[in-house]
Order: sequence, then C-alpha cells, then structure tokens
Amino acid sequence: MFTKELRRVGLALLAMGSLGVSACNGNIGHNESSGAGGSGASSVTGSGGSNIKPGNVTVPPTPTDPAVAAAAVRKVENLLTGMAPTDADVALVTQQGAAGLQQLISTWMTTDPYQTMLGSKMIGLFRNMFQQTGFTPTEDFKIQLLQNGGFDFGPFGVSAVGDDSYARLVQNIQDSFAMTAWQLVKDGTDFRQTLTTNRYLMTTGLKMVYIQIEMKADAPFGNQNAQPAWTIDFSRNPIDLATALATMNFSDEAPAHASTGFGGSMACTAATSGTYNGTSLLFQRLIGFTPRFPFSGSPTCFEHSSKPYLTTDDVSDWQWVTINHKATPTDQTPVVQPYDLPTLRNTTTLTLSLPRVGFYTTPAFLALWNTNDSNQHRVTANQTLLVALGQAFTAENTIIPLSTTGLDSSHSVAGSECVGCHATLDPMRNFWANQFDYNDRNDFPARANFMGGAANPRPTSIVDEFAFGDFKATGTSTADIGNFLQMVTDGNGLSRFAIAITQQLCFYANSTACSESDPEFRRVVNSFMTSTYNFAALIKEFFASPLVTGTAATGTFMTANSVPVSISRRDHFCAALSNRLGKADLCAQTATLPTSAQTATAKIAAAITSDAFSRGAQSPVTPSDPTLFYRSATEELCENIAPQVVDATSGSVYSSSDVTGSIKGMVETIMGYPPSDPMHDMAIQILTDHNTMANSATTTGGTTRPGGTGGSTSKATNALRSTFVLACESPTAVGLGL
Amino acid sequence: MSTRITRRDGLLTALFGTGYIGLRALATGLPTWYLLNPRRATAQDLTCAINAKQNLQYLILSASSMGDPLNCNCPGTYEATDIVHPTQTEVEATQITIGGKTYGAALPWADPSIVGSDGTSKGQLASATLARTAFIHHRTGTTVHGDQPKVMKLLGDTSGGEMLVSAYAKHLATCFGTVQAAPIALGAGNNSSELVSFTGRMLPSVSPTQLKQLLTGSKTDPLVMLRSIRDQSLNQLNAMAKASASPVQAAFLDELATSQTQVRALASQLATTLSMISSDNVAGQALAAAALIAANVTPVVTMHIPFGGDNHTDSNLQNEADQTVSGVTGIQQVITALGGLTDSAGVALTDRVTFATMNVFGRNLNGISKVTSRAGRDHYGNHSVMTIIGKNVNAGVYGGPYASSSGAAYVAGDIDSKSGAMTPGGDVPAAQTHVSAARTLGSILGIPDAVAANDYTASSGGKVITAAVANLPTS
Repeated sequence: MFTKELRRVGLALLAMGSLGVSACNGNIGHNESSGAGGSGASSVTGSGGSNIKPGNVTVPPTPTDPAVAAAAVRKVENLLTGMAPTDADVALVTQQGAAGLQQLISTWMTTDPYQTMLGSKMIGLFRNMFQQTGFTPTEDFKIQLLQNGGFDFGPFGVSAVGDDSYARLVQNIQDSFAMTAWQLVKDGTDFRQTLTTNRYLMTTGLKMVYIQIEMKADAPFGNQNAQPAWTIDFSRNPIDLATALATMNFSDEAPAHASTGFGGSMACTAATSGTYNGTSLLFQRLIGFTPRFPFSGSPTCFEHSSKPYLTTDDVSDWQWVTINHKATPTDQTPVVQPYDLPTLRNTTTLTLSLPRVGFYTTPAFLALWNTNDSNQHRVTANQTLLVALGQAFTAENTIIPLSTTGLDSSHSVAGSECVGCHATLDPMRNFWANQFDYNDRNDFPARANFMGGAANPRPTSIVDEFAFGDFKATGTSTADIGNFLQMVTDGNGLSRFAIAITQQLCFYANSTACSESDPEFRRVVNSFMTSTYNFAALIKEFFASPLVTGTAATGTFMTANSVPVSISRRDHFCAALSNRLGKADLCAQTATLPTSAQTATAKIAAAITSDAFSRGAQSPVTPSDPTLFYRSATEELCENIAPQVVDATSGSVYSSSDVTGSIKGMVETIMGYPPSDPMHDMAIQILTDHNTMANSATTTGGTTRPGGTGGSTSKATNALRSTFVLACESPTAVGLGL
Repeated sequence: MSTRITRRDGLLTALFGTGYIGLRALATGLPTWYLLNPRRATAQDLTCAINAKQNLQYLILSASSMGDPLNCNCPGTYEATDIVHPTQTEVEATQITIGGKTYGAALPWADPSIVGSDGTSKGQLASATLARTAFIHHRTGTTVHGDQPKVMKLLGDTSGGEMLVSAYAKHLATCFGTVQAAPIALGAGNNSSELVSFTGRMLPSVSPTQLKQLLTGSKTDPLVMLRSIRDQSLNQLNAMAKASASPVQAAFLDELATSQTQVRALASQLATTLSMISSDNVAGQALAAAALIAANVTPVVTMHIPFGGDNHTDSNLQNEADQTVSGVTGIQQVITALGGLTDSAGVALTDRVTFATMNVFGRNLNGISKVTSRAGRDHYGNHSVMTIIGKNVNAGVYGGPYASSSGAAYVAGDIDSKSGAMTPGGDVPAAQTHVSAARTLGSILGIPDAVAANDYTASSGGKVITAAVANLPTS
C-alpha cells in the first residue's frame, strides 16, 4: 500500500511549501500509480524528450479553506491527469491556495507518470480543439482519396478489410495534428506554431496517405491504363514486401483477423491472379483490402480481406516530418511513390504539391469539412476562423477588404442580405481555393465529368485577401493565413488567438464560457501572450485560477464557489477510471480489433455524453447536466467494468478476500477522498454497509459481462462488484467540481 | 467537519432522493425541475398558464442542418410550371387534395392507394395523415448550414436567444407534468449535426439504440438485481456530499438524485416499446420518440428525417427523388408509431402529438443552371417549407412561392394570415414568414400566442396564420 509513502511525501511538501514561491518549480507530490491508461502520447522518434517549462509560480501563497481546496484539487487533478488527489496535494493547496495548485500542475506536466497521463488528456482536447475528429472515413474521404479507391471499400465496407492497419491508420489521421500540437508544447515551442507549422508528427502510413491524396485520379472507372500496372497472386501464398515491390506482384495472403461479415473470410478461387492499374487500388491492397477483379458489376472475384502490407509499426512509428511545398504545384509526379513503404519508413521530409500548413490543411480537417463546387472552401475558411479565433463570419463584419477580388457575385448580389458575409468570406476562401481543388486534391479538372463533378480549372492568378476583425492583408499562399490569423486582436490589446485557446479551456474545465470582459480571464490570456504563447504556462495559470477553482469571485462567476459543477463527460470519466485503476482503455475506445466484450463496452461508453463541436458553432458542445441518460449510461458502464477489476481472472485490482483494503482503495482512488478528508471515513462506512447488505441479498449467479466468470461467482464477489459500482457512480466520480 | 448519516436520513433519501426533492415537490406542488433550479425559473415557468388543456400537444420536430430540398417537391410548388422537379416516376407529379383544395405534389405525398405510372411506385402518406397536414411556405433568411441553431432561435427573434423548442417545452412541460422540461434530441448529435439547447445549455443527444440499451437489458444480472440496494447507498453518498456543499454543488447533487429516480421509473415504463427498436434509422427514432412521449418524459423530442440532404451535386436529382420517397415514408412511420401508443388517459398519441419539420434553409427552386439541368441544388434562404401534422391542424397549403417576373427566382411570398393564401402585400410580409410559421406551430401545439408573447422579441413581428389552426387557443 502506498498510504504511508504519501504521508511522508505530504510532510515533505508541507516543509517545501514553507520555503515560499521561489522554491516552487521542483517535482512535488510524486504520486504512486499502477499505470497510465488511455491512448496517445506515444513515444516519438527524433524528439528530444520533454522540454515543458510551465514557468514560475505567479501568485503569492494564500491559505484556503480545506474543503474548498479539496474540491479544487479533485477537479483540477481529474481534468488534467485523471488521477485522484492525495493528502499531500490537498495540504499544499490548503496552505498556499492557487500558488500551491500551480506547483502541483507544474509537477504533473513535468513528471511521470502524470506527464504521460496529462499528455493523453491534452491530445484528446486538441483533437476537438483543432477539429480533427468526427469524420466518417469511408464516406468523407471519397473526395480526397477518391470514390472506388482509398477508403471507399464498396458495398461490403470495412468487413472486407483484413487485420487492423486500416483502423489504426484512421486513428493516425485524427491523432496526427493533436499529437503535433502536444509535441510542440513538449518541445517548449510557441503555441502559435499550430497556425504555421509545416512539421507534423506522422507515421509511415500517414506519409503514404498524404502522397496518395495528390496522385493522379486513377480510381475506377475509366482508368484501365493507369500506372503502375500490378498484379495480385490469388494463391494466398505470402509474398514479402521487397519481392512484391520488385515484381509489382502482391499476395492475397489471408489476414490474421478477418471480419465475419461479407468479404471478411472470402478468397478468390476463380482466378489465379489478377491485373490492376493505378495507385488508388494499390493503396487499398496495402492496407488489407483486395479489390474486386475485374472492377465490374459481375466480377470474377469479389473484394475481400487480405493481410495488409502496412504493418503495425508503420502505423505507430511517430516521427517529425517536414512537409515542403513543390515549386511547381502542377507537377503531379511524386518524389516518393506512395506504395514505396521501405523508403517512406526512413523519410523525414516530404515534398508535396499541395501545401500542408497548420491545422487547417490536414486531411482530417478537410475531410470533416468537405467542400464542393458551390461551397468553394467557404466552410474551410469559416471553420478555420472558429478554431483559431473563436469567431466566424457574420453580416455584422465591419472591416472592408482590400479589394473585392474573389467576391462571388452569384452568391452575393450587391445590396442583398448575403453581401455582409461574402464580402470578407469569399476573398478569404482563396487561401484554399487557389491551391486545393474542390475535392481538396491537386487535380483541378478543366472540364466537368459525367459523374457530376464540376469543372474546376486551376486559378491563374493567386490573390488571397484576408480581412477579419481588425486586420487585413494580402497573401500569396495558404501558408500566409497562419501568420495573418495571429494578427487579429479584440481591439483592446488581446490576441484573438490567445482568447480563443483560453476560451476552449473554459469549456473544457467548466462546460461553459468565460466572460471575455472578465478581468481574471483577461489576466490569464495576457499571461499566455507574455509567456510567448507557452501553452504549458497557460495550463498552469488557467487551471489554478478562480475561473476553475471558484475560490474567489470573478467577472465570470460573480461569487466565490459558484463555478458550475459539470458531469464528467466520457473522455474524463474513462481516463479517470483507466488511470486510477491502472488498466489502459477500460472503455475500449481505441481497440482496433475489439473483442465482443470490448465492442459491448464501447457501445455503452458511447452513450456517455462526450465533448464535441459543430459546424458554424462558436462554442464547443460540452453538455454539463446529469440527465437520466447520463446517469443510466454511467451506471451501465460501471457495471460493465466491475468484473474486470474485482475478482477478475487476471489483473484484478480489488479482491473480495480483502474487503477492507478494497473499499479503502475505492474511496481514495475512485471517489477521490484522501485519508484526511472529512468524508473519507463516512464514505468507507457507507460502502462497507452496502457490501454487507449486498452480500446478504445477492445470489451466487455470475455476470455475463466481460471479465465475469459465469455461474460460479460467489456472493462475496458480487457484493464487492456492486460496491465498486457504487463508488464508480458516486457523486465525486461522475461530477467535476464536487 | 463530519456529517453523521442517520438511519432516518437514509430512509428519507431512499424514498425521496437527496435533499428530499420528491418530498418537497409533493409538499409544495412545484415540479422537481423547478426545485432543482429555482433561480433559473420565472413565475411563468411554475404553473400551466394555458386554460384549454384538452388541445395541448406534445411536439416531435424533425430538424435538419443539411438544408434538404423538402421545399422543392411538396404541395404548393407544382402550380408554377418553371419550378424544377425530379423526373423519376417514384416522385412524378400527382394531384392530391388537402383541405378541400387540389394541389400538385410529388407522388410520395399521396395516399398509398395512389399508384404511379410505372405501376409500382406509390404514395407514402396515408390520406388520414394528409388530412391533418399543413405546408407553410416561408423564408429562413440564411444560407449557412451552421446557422441551424440560429434558425431555431428565429435569427434573433426569440427572447434571450432561446431556441424555439426550448420555449415550447417550457410552456408544455408544466401543463403535461413531464419528467423533464428539456427536449430530448434523438436524431441530433455528433459533429456537424443538429444542435438543440434548453435555456441556453446545449443538450446531449441520445440515439434510439442507446436509449434501448440504457433503459432495458438483463433483469437477472446480479449487479442489476442489486440496483435497488445500491440506490439506497447512493442516496447516502449524495447526502453526505451535500452536507457541506455550496449551493451550486447542492443543485448538481439534487439533479443526480432525481435522474436516478427517473431512470428506475422509465425502465419499466418504456421496456416494451423500446424492445422493438433495432437501429437508429428513422423507424427507430419514431419508436423512441413515441415511447418517450407515451411515458411523459418530455414535451418535445427532436429527430432527423433526411429529405435529400446537401445536394449540390445530385445527378438527375436522383438522391433528392429517392429521399423524398424515404422522407415521406419516415413521416408516416412517426405517425404510425404514435398510433400504436396512448397517453395515460388512454388517448391515442396521434391526437396528442404534433409532428413538424424545421430546415435551416431550403434549396433553389429554379433560376440557376444547376437546377435547370437537374444536376443539383444550392442553398436558398428565400424559400423553405415547414410541414406540420396534428390534430389542431387545418390541412392546407399556406403561403407559397412567388416570382417577381417571368423567369425570376421563386421566393416565399407574403401571406394573408386569415386565408393563409400567398398574397402580395398580405399582413405577413415574406421577411416575417419564419416567425409566423413558428407562432403558428405554437398555436397548433395549443399555446396561445398571447401566452407565448414573451418568447419573442418586441420587434420580431409575424402573426399566427389562423387559417392553419383548427382549434385556435385563446387563453
């Protein structure tokens, strides 16, 4: 047990606390943990480790009421690491208030295992903040990776894709920018680089995707002469990658894991080999999908799953990759072929025809906000503003662009209601429209096609007009917009970008906005700016602020202790359970080859409200109320997890042979009441009484849930599992701010 | 500071929830949701302010942020010959009678007894349903998908930025005594979909299959069987936490306790209907919506019925044609699901529920080459159609498309509120038709416009189209 150790650390902390502010940047409150959960924050090749510098404590020590301090630490530690507070943590904040909390936050950001947990939480935040998640790959990538190629697997869908390289590749696509942003933070880099970076964390699989997007459109139909021509040997004998690339003859080796759906376990017996053309279909073969042969309505062999050539390493070998833009963007000859995996594995620089800069040109962002010949990248421009500045185009925009170049007269007839938005929106869309076609590819078709695609000839003059808020300028490439976004202010000295990022944290912490006129909010934003946009310093400053802890009145929350209490939404709830119990991904959110039990768990977890965002909405979607649906979903999930952690056949956390120790652990770990908390002993008593009652009432029937052992489950086991559920659905476990 | 939990506390909390919300509700006659958030409520929120309760209606609203081309092929758009429609037989022009008048419409809007020229296509909307259907032609005034929440707020014409569904729900919840006042979003949710808020707070969505999973399930699992015992212990934990809680914390704890009670009650009430749900499609949403209203959970449910989607590129308007068929079929599925259930008084839900659609915008009816060549349609803020079906509806077509000259683009015209006809210079100017449609829907729900007066800003304008309301509520 680690209780004594914690007490010892707590005493040391108290002593350190008396040293005052100047001594407050060391490692403090190193809690023992049985392991981290969740996903993300994988190791990165070529990174210099962590260089996070949250900076000095910026507020003087102020003693705080113990109950208020306990609630504040419980909330902030949960939000940032998913962990429960210790006595030492609470004591430090009781003694020093916000100064103590800043010390703790600094420690969590710089010390393992907290640092890893915090990284996972921030990557989850960044996925939403930079709008990189929420797309449907089989549908939303039909324009970037083409219909009948790429991720379009036809009528059988993903059932015809073998193993999990595809699923991992999709995760890569949504994780890449979030991990890039976190790595920028870890490298101690100015956070404004999220607007301008052309360096991304990428895997080999992602490099393949980026190149494939700008290959000539060669998916069926009508591309039977596309190059390269290549074959598949349907014998199911293995052909290694080197041999396959040398001969352009690929195997149809059976995958280790195939879906039970149609196409999952099929093979081609009606032909010995098949010839295919082009990279769109070859891309599919590399990720575990053998296209139908020939590509027609009545093929000799239907599409089916095969062993992917893209290995697990290829979709987990994260490394920094610099993307350079070709001097001649009309050049569609790839520097590296997208199927040349051996070369891609060692490539750290990609030279591409399409510009890739910041968050707003990633394949994920462009897939989520698909444009078309009518929209013409207006949605792309608008969503970019929403992310970067927290504002969108409205008819009330007063700034007048430098010129009307780009203004679409068919959308915005002079004097009509539409002009207000279009006058600034249309010129800005050119930052994308001049370099990405309506499919966010590099094809720029000169003529309409018979499938309904519109003509979209490449623009001859590149003039991009930025006019928003209090800043306007003319640019010449997509890369310019990142610099221009940084220049917009609120007119009172604060950067709109800094305001937007801080506002996102308000929603993350409180499920509601902060008032932009609140002096405390403006102080935090200003500190972010003066730290040269050090996100780690912002985390430290914001989460120790009364905007989050409620320890004092602010302009947002007019009285002390009036910060709203929110439900612990899915990402927070699942991370807390995983991190506190030392069992990764308890909610089965990242399982790429889920077992039936994990599928069931994931389905239940999906019913728990999660963070999201919406098209055109200035605020993230962060429901906060404990509705009956939230209540029911958390109860179901806790019941589902109980057999995996109580008397489980392997890796059990709690045992019915040690009820006392187990209940103590549940109170301190799951409910977040450390031993010195006034609620600690009462909570133990309530859980103990429940265990006794449940033991008297329950039958010996076993649960059929994951980890359950069927009909032989003892009364004691069922009782302790019920006790775990009680702790798991207790107020402090499901609420943030109690 | 320590708090001792007494046996009496435990019993009381077990019976009435933390803070004895149930007991307080019994004693005061105030609804539990008011007791949980008294500072958010106004006097109007507390009691049913409507006298004619017999005609009050629950609402199922199909919302769309896609701007589906529902407005392009419904009754009222076939009399002008230069409005462009798909040419497929499944949606061929058909004559139907609504409110004693004959209109052209796409075939799906006809009764299933009406068969198309190919001998297989047929109507999808039962004549009994059509006899309660109104089509209000109006303008939302926006062409932006992301304005769906703003359209729900009538682009600034509702008071305090309240969504229309929220305003309706506040009136109706007190009269129906629903479990919760907040609407439930079934078809909404996920990124880039329809958003629904209540008193300014964004509501989470729950899919039909999730609803089924959450409120049904094993009755023999030992952990499920221990729920009632666990509820008692949970109430003790809530009471313990509340003992030293701030007012904000205490309110949250009360909400937790209440939701727990609600879950238990609903699980037994909804089990039969929910067991029939097999997917999140329109049929699943219809069943879930009907079940939630039958159990008096909420006065307003939102869902999503696709009617062609964002069809900028739609070769031969094929998707529009197909989804016009499936869309009208979906509407009939909602009505059919309602017909299978009754309220607590034994009244069929078809007499207690009004169905309506609200689209962020419509799509071009004519006047652009893309439409003329039937290659797709673009966003259009100047014409949209709200479909309303219910007991209090005077079936008919209200307002209509208007072109200023031959070949000009059709827009929603002015409306004469008494006759409901599209009348240039009518007392409902085209720019106010969206507010008028909202006020009319409110009246059809049984909410007198006078009672709803504070729901709209003083400058909102618009009038109830009285011709569309069968039982016009006055007080």
